[in-house]
Amino acid sequence: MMAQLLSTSYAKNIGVELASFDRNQVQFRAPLESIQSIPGIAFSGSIYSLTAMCGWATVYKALHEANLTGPIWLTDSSTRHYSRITSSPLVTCSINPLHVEPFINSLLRGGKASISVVGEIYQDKQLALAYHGDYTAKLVPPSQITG
Amino acid sequence: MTTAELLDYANTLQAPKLLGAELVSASDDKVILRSPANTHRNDKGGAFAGSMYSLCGLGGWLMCVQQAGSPEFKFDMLQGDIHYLSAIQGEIILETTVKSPADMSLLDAGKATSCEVTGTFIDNGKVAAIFTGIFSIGLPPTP
Repeated sequence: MMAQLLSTSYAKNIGVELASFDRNQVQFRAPLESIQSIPGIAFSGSIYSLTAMCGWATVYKALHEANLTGPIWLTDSSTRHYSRITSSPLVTCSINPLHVEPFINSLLRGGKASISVVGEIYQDKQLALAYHGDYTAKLVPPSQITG
Repeated sequence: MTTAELLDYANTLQAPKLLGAELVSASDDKVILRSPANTHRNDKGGAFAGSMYSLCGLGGWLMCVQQAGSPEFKFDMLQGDIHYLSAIQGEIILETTVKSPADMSLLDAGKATSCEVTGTFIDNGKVAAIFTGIFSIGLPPTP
């Protein structure tokens, strides 16, 4: 599924790569050349797209580790752009580990649940972007999983 | 800037080309952007959230250019909040309006100013997402 996300037209257009992943954290990167609007400066919309996809992947990973599957939506987000991004960005998205179990339990109980993701981009050791996204997942019963 | 001048400026930007977006109309306090339905869909067939935010960034940018009266200033998005209410299945239409105009006297005094905008996505006559953004407008870079 992660490969499917990275093969979407948008991800391919901007050259998104999975840089690393850990238990509750995913890192995506993209080359500056494919996301700049003014030469040498990344477009805020492309930076957001990279971050929103990384957040989606973080929630997907939490579902996958619980052996669950289902669609995931971004419902709300808040982004602070602290400085212009002038190098290829590496975004780190994470879920508070304490929120994972209640999220999964809620999903199993009600079939739908939401969880928050925090994202950050650092440039020259300074926080360049801070992101907060609320994602909602809907459980697909095993009988409805195809493929 | 006149609508025609803003339109010409929009056509020089790389972002609308990447988004497949076009500037439909512009006035002193409103710009309307459109992006076709087949551009950047998500895994559920709806409009990709990132493309919607990108369109908001573009709408806010153009609104700030309009406020400043010239694209020569330095424009940056400082903050963007977006609330997605429903999936957009068709063409993406964004109406961006000025919530708090830029204080142009600050620019005249050699200082940076900011402009707050609101973006509304309409799908089938209903509001599908709402955006609020703050953009800074600074003095043009010195050569």
